[in-house]
Amino acid sequence: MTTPIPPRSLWMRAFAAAEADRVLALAGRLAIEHGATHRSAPRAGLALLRLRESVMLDTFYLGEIPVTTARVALLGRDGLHVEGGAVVMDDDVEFAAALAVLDGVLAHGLTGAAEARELLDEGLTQIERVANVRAAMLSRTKVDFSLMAEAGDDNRA
Amino acid sequence: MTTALDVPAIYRPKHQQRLFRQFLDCMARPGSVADLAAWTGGAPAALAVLAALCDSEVLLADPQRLLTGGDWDFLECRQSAVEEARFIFVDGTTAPDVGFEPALGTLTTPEQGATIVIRVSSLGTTGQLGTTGHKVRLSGPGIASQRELGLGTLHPGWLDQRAVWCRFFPLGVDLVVCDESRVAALPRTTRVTQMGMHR
Repeated sequence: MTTPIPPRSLWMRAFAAAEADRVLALAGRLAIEHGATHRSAPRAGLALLRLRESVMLDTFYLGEIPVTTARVALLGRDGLHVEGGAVVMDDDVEFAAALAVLDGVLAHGLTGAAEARELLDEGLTQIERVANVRAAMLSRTKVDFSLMAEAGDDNRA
Repeated sequence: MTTALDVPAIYRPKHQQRLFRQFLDCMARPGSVADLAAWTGGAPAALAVLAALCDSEVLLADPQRLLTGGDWDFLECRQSAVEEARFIFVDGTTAPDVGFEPALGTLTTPEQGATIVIRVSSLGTTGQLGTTGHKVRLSGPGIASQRELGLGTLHPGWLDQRAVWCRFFPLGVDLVVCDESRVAALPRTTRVTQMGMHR
C-alpha cells in the first residue's frame, strides 16, 4: 500500500533535498515529454525575510535570503495546459524551473508522476535523516540544571 | 536544462540590456532606426521595447488589447487606463480614438508624461523604405540638421495629436514607433514636419 502523498506545501522542500542531478535529469526528460514552457520569466535574487516579533507583534526584517521563482506550463492529458510552480531558497534558475516541472507533473498526475513521487519520497527521507541528526546533536547540548545545583552543593561542602 | 524551457529571448537579462542600449541610442538620436532582430528571437520589436522598459512597478495601458495573456505574464506590468499609464501600446494604422488622453506630466514632474509605443507596418529612413508610407522630416536635439523618417502605415492623426500633446514643453509624450523588427523614437523635444504620403 502506498503512503498518502504529503501536502503540496512540502513538495519544494522535499524535491530540493533529493539528489540534484536526478532532479534535473528527470525534469529535463519530463519537460520535453510534456512540452514545458515558461509562463513567466523566472527570477532569482534576494528577498527580505519578514518576521513578526512575539511581544508587540510588529513585523521586522530578519535579513535577506536568496529566492528563485519559476512558473511553467505543461501539456496535459486532454491537450490543455496545466501549470507547475516553484519558489525555492536558492539562486539557481535552472533548478527552480526543474522543480516547477516536477511540481506540475505530480500535481496533475501526468506521465512521469510516479517517478516524481519517488524523488519526493527520497527527499522526505533525506529531510527526516537530517532532522534526526540535528535532534541528536541538540539533545547533547541540553543541560540538566538540577545536576548543576547538586554540583554547587558539593562545592560548598 | 532543456531547450524546451528556454526563456523567450526578449526576457533574458543579457538581451534586455542590449535592447535597452539600442533603445537609448534611438532616444538620443531621434529618427534613427535600430534593428533589434538580433536580440528579439523573432518577437515583435514593440514587445521587445516594452520588455526592456517595463517591470512590475509600471502602469501599462493596452487599449486595443494587442497583448496576449502570456505577454502580460512575462511583462509583469500593472494594467491601467490610458490616462494613468506611463506606457501605452497601440497600433498606429488608425487615428487615436476620441478621448485618448495620455498623461502629459506636470511642470514639476514632466517625466511622468507617457511613452506611447506605436506599432506600424514598416519603418525606415528615406531610401531604405522604398516608395510607400508616411514620411516626416525631423529636427531638434540629437539631430545634426535634419533627418527624414519613413513611418509606414502610421496614421497622420497620431502626429497631429502629438503636436497638441507636446505644445507646452516640457509637458508631453514620447513616441516610440516600431515595425516588426525595428524601432525609432520621437521624443517630445523633436520637431516633426509631415511630408505626406509617398506612393
